[in-house]
Amino acid sequence: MKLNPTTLKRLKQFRSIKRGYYSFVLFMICLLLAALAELWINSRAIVVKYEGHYYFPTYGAVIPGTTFGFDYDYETVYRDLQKRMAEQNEDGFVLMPLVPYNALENDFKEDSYPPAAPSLESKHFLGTDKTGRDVLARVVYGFRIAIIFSLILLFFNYAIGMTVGSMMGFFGGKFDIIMQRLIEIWTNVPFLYVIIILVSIFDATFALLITIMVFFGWTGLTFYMRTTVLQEKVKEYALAARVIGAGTFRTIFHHILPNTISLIVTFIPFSVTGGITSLTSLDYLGFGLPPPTPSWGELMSQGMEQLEVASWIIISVVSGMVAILVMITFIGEGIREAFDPKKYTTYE
Amino acid sequence: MILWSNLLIWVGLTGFCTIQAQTQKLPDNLLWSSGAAGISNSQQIKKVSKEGIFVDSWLSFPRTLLTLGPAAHPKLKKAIRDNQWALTSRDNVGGVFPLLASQWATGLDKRTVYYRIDPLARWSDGHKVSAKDFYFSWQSIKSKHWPDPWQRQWSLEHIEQVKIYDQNTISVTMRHMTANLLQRTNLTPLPSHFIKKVDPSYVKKYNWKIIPNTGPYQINEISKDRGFISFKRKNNWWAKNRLRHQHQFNAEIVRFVALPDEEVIWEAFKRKKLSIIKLKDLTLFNKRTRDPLFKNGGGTLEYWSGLPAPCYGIWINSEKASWLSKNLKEGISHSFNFQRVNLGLLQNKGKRLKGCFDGYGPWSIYRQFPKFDEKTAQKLFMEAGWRTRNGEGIRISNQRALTLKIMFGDELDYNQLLILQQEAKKTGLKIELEQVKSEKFLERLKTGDYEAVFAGFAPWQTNPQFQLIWHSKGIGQGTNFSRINNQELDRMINQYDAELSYQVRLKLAHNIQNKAYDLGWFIPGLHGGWQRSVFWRWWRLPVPSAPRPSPTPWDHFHPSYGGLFWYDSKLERAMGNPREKAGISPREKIVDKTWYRD
Repeated sequence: MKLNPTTLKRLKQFRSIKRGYYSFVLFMICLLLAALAELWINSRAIVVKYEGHYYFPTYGAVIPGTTFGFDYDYETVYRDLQKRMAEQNEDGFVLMPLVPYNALENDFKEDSYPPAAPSLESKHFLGTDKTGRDVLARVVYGFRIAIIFSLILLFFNYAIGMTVGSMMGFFGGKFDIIMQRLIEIWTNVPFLYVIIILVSIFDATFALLITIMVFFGWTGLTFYMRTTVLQEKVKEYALAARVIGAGTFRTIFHHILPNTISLIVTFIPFSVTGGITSLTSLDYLGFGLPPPTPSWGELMSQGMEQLEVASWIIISVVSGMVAILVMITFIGEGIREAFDPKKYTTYE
Repeated sequence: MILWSNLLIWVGLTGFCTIQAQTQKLPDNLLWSSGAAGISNSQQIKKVSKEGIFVDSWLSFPRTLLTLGPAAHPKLKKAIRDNQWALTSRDNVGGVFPLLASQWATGLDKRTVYYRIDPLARWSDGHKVSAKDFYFSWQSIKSKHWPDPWQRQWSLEHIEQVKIYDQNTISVTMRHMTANLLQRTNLTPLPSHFIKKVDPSYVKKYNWKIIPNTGPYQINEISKDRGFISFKRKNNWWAKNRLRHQHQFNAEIVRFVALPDEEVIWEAFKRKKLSIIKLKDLTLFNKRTRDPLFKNGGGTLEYWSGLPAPCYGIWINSEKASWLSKNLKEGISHSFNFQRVNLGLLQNKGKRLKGCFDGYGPWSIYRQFPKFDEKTAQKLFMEAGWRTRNGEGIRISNQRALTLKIMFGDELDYNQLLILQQEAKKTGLKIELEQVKSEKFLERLKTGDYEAVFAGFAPWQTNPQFQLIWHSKGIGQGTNFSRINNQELDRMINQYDAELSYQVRLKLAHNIQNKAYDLGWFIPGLHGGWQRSVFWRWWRLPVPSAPRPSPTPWDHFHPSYGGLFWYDSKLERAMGNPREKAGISPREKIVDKTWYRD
């Protein structure tokens, strides 16, 4: 793909800002790890070789215990299979993920009760929560859900916000005035309370939360877009496009919008952190995603409750959250600097 | 004019009383009894000191001193009501003992109970408790200004008449013959010399007013800015020489401090600002009792209450889940692994309930409810036609996955359900969870919009009541969780409620339970049973901690089991002195299993 020279310059500039660049690399690694979480945090084995056949249980349907010579027909407990194969010297092997637990299963030991402290031996590297679920698994899967939530939210917020904002800027006049007042009123609705009320009426689901948050979140970008489009629409290239005969839609989306990209890109990282924190706070208050979805907010409220007994819960989730939010903020800072128009504009 | 008419009514009312007193004559041949009056409440205690300030905590400060209405503070309500004595009370083993009454007799019509009021009984302001106070109380509750509509309704529906015979004798007549006659006719008087009249301004007027009472303690200090309410023992309390209460109510002052949350309460306890705290969370209890303060005067108590267990479990909605065949229902019952919940959350200290009415003595029947058993469940599901499993491992039949959606409200239930959900996968049952919060939960119960619900009932006091749970009347009220509409069951419950003979009722109770369990819509849950508290050791308890089954040995004022603890000043002094302390065993750990039953 050939990038235009300005973009290349900006990317180069971004790479030269070390803090932002390394944060970006780290964050991408985190994303990749989270996307592939099933391969390293899972109760299902990665590869099983049993009686000469290879099995890859990670993705796909449940393999019943009878397949591997157990006497039950529910899903094989691969940890048991691994133990049995090792003990009885059976032909074949079981390759378990690094953390052999999923985010939902309760691991109870015979001699102790949850929450269990972090331990290398039991492979609960960050311990377990009060119902015996692995904290590391909950943190990673919780991160994945939070980031997906945040990105979907971002997409819809920006799609609506940008469209409405550009239309306000482009059309001006009555439409602009009416929309401005409407948005002013809209933004003054305390959205957290509205969410809490709505969630207690309807049952909270992923889609409902996204819908409600988009409902109140799209206004954020409109005024910035409006201002930028107001500036851009009178520039020569925009007027030229009109003269050639480009329609409204084409002028806005093909000509003006690409020139506002630096504004949008600068806002993205902060919107991502915003999305993560709102979901976490809603979960913390108990108005977020329905149980037993792994979530940072739920872990936090549990951690607060079990502070004396199980400090590892709150330590894990808070460190994870701080790390991710700091990384994204650094990325945002880097982008802002890289896209700073003053660097490339000369005023005569 | 208005003044006059008011006065006329008032004169009329008192005139009515005097007329009654002149004309009414007690029937002959009444057999007077004073129940279990002669039994001392705590024989084990020999001599205890009557001193000390016992400090307990509340999570909020009351908004009113009234014990009626929605704003009433539940803990304060209990404290005030326990000190506002009725005619009689009962201990948890079924014995009735006198409070304000000295004797009672049941009339031949089996609807009337005659009471003789103890001539010594006094209000806290020194006035004598008289028959008039009971009559006034009945009249007030019936009045349309009475703030508790439920109580008013009950009184209108059930009490026919309260008659005064002389200053110390009354009778209470019910409209219908009923079992538990003594319990039903048990009136609590109102101080007619103090309240005078219940009018629309009642709530406003008595919001923060201390109403005279007859029990052992009365409020002596309300500090809104420091957030506490103190109850002080009456110096010359009229019943202090009664054998029953001799060793009860030992603390000089019982104080309730409002503190914002459990953490602050624990810190306050550590600084000796509180005498005891209750700890529900087992992990927290285990962790906190390792604190060094337990070598310096802290004690721990684990107590099994011995009272009937709450009726708790999974109720399948028979209307919504009518597609469940008998085999399926049984298979589902076998898919709930409460043993594992017990292991994981209650450290194996809980008990699986043996039915909806566990612990009512002869009233209960104990059945073997299905235990978690994947083999049996599998067999039953296969027989019912759910032979294959889908990619998730869930059983399917005709493209339909075997799922049960359970509605729940409480965070604690949620933790249990999570484990059940994971375990049920083994038998091929998919459990979906739906959390519904308080008011909406009740609403959904009423409309029946759920497939199954995880909920329960607090235990009844003496004998089981089936009307709410299994009678078809309970469907509309949202208390018949399984929404069972079974004519035979209805008939038996009606008969049970109207029956007077003990033997027949007992037999009916057994039949009703058997019948309801046979229908198979209820899967009993777990009963925590243990009550855990930590306390400062100079607050001593008798051995056993409670002489009769009671909810807690730390009850403050209950006439039957309250205030049995006492203050040991010597021990407190000794614990503060390193030399004396050496001679005292370093920690006190009480595990009281006196009322434990298997």
